[in-house]
Amino acid sequence: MSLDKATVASIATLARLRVPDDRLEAMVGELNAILGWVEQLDEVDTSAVEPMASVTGHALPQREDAVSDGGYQARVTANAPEAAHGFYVVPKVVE
Amino acid sequence: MRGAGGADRPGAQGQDQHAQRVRPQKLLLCRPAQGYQISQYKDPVVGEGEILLDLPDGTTKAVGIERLHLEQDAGKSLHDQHPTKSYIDLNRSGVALMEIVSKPDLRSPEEAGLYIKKLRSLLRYVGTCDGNMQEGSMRADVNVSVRRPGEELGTRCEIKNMNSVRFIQQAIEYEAQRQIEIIEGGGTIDQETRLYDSSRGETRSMRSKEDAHDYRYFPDPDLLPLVLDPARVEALEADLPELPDVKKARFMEVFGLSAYDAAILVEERATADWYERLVAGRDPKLAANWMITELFGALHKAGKELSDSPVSAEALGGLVDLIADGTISGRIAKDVFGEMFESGKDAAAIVEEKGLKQVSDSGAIESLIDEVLAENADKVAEYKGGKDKLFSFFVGQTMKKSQGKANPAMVNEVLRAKLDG
Amino acid sequence: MAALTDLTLAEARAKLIAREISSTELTEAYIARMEATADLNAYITRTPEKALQMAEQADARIAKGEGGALEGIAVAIKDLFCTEGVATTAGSHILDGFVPPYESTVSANLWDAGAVLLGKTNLDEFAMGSANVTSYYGPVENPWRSTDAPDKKRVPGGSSGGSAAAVAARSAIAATGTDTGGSIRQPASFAGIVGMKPSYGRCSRWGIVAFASSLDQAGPMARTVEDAALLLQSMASHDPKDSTSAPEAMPDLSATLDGGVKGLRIGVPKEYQVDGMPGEISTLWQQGIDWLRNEGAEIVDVSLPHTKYALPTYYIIAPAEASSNLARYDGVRYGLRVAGDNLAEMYANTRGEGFGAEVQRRVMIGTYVLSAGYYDAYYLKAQRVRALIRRDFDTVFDKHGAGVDALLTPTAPSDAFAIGENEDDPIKMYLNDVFTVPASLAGLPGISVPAGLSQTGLPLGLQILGRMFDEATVVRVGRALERAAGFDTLPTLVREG
Repeated sequence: MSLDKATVASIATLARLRVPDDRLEAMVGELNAILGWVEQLDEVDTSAVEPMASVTGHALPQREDAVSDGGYQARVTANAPEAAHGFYVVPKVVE
Repeated sequence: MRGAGGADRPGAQGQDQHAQRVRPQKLLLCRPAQGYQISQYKDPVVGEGEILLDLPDGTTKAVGIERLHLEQDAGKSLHDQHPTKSYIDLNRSGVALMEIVSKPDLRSPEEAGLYIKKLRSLLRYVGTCDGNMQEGSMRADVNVSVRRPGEELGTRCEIKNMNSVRFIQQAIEYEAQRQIEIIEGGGTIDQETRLYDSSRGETRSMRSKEDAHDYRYFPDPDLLPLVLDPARVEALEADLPELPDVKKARFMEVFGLSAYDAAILVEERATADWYERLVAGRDPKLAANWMITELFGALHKAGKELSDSPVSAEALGGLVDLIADGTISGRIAKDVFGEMFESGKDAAAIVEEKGLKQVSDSGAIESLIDEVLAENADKVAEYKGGKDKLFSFFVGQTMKKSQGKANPAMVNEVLRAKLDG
Repeated sequence: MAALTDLTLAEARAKLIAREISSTELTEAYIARMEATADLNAYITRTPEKALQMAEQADARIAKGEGGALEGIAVAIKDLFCTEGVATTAGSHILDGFVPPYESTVSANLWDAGAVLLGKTNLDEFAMGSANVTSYYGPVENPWRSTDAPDKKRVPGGSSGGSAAAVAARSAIAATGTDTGGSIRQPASFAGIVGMKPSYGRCSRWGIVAFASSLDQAGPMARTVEDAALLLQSMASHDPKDSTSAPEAMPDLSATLDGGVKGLRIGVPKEYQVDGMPGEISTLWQQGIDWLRNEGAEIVDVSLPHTKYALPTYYIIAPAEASSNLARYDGVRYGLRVAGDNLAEMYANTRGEGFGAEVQRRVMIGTYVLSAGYYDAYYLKAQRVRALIRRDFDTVFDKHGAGVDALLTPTAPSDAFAIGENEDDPIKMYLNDVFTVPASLAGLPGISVPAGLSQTGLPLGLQILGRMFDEATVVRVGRALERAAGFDTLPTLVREG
């Protein structure tokens, strides 16, 4: 499986990355090299193996359904590039 | 939510549930604070079931429930606060919400409305949600499609974020009409997300980018598998309150109420509880009539909720008792009720104070009747000449003379004896 | 050079408690050292004023006979841990200007124990790298130079390269690191210090900028095994704010630290003898085996058959998780914003400019392997192989299998290379983590202990791996190895002043 430039461009769109055209060319090669390399996993017979998503062996801890955090809007928005009235501000979205 | 035969109960699925991560990529959707949304995409916490709707024609309709899953609130965007900017409100971002997905079983705006109301009632019964749509505690994404009779379901459009039953019904009406016009004009429906503009009463497309439709779900590595202990599920089940369908059936069976009255009384748990306090040791139908007709009427007129009714269940019970034991007549009771609603006083006190006690003394009633007959000798002659209808005239005159206090049954009895005897 | 900065953490602690030195004196010495070694670029942010304030408070507590386990000890924090009121960059342009309004659990634990913050150390951008060359704030220089090319600056390894360089150069007594695929152990090996990745779940991930959530784990970097154990003891905690945080109680590591290896079974996995590995690595490994045998350990040859698949597995899982974790950097809530004609363009411009090449590469790979149609072939496959890798370890640790108590391996396949090397080919760089990644995938604890010098005079580490949550055995074996190796060479820059 080899990626072409158009596919790499669409992955970039999906990943929300602006990749300049010249960089896109280079990326095609890099990504194909990495994908070609990871494809050695195909040698491993995993037909009888369950996928492993966590290593601790524990189940999700549960707690009372109660508010445990929050109530400091100004602190949270203090780092925003643009904020007003407690909201984050972005270029107008037209719906 | 499982609603068959009133057996509403959560059914836990699978013991090993991995939360899934999903990154909403739709351009116009608000992005939650972490840039992705956690959702029980693969393993919903509750599986299939159904909810029963009472249709206006008296029949019952089952609406299939596909699943109930938990996911994070994404937050919301505000686009009308600034001419060139959008505001992003992440105050609720990340807070858990549950999404209940129904099967495509609803066939009209009316059924959709009934479904929402029933769901809301169930959620309020079990105490998971106050169901307040105006405040955003409950919202609906409504999928609408049309088809010619006998054909497969058509392509659907999703109308997002609806927050009132009325708007839901209006939006469905509009959207169905829009789709019909397109199809009848030879067009086809594009599956898309639409918004309902309540000020214009129309839906319009959210122009979403087609290429950004790959959600990339995978098990969230920040969360471990959720394991639900079967004992806990059993305990939750045992703890469930009596749900509306079961309660309604019981009210009909035990109290002999009509389906209509029972449905009204069980819609809210608080209403049903109120009725059960009222009905204790009393005539169930009489109690239901007084609650539904008089009390609800007065509350409605006063713009009040049952929870702030000036007349308590015990107080209304006192009034019903006075009717049942013949202390006052039904007509007098209406006046007494009006007074109770106004002043908050109890029925017996008002009856006492205003001397409204029903006259059941046969001597007193006889003398009243004698007076009436003497004053209307001509009518007595007509009656005796065969004009039977005048009987009710004499009853009316007697009641009037007693200022409504005469026991109507006794008045009838004595009149019969005097006129026909 | 001031003697104060030559003290180990344990020694400094003893002198502080005995009031032979004050935290202020110690902290001042380290501040001076930070300034003197600024050229190494080990720190992104230095906080001398805060350090002196904290030292003063520590001295006050010590004077009252109070104080925690690390009272008055001046440490550095990898700039991946959020520190309240102190800029946190993750080595990335995209977090420009970000000042966390909260403290990571691990750093909060350290301050609770009385530690003093010297500053935030440099790292590969978002901890993605093995040489500390992907940082937006420039590469870190290793205080070690080779004897054959003394003019060439060497990398300190990565991603915790700043922490490794700071500890080696004596500009911090000890430092925190994070290890996703080897980011503590490999730089520890390159810088001639001790670095430990505890079991996954030991240290809370809350407040640590996330790279790959199923792998990220914080750990200590220090000059001795004892120091690393002391630091870890305070860093670790069960934290309800991290759902993957381990509820298992952390044993008192110091209690068994000097227990020795007599009677322990130490496994030597044959698959770690990889093609093209320099002879000096194999020689040192054999040396380590002999040392532990001489100390009374029973050496057992074992097999971990899926070892060679660990790296490709890692390079699917880690980028996949990263692509999701890094979705939050979009110019809306914090950090850099690069304007665009609309919201989507603003996102893409911000991320295109804010992320460096390696981060973009991994985000792209991660996005691809999770995308519709490729998920099963890549991501699910990798998770299955991950299960096999863990099973390999379980088998050798199991009483019914090889029944070993710990494993001994090299930490890295080479010594510290020169800045600029290995940068032409991402995969070449990835191979640095060949010995560290398997334990990361399995979640197991591991420590790198400096064990000797390469032919060109650069430090080399050996790695001890242990059972899940058995940090006690790992540090015990590590301590025995350290004692036997007697590694006491100072970094070139420290030796030469």
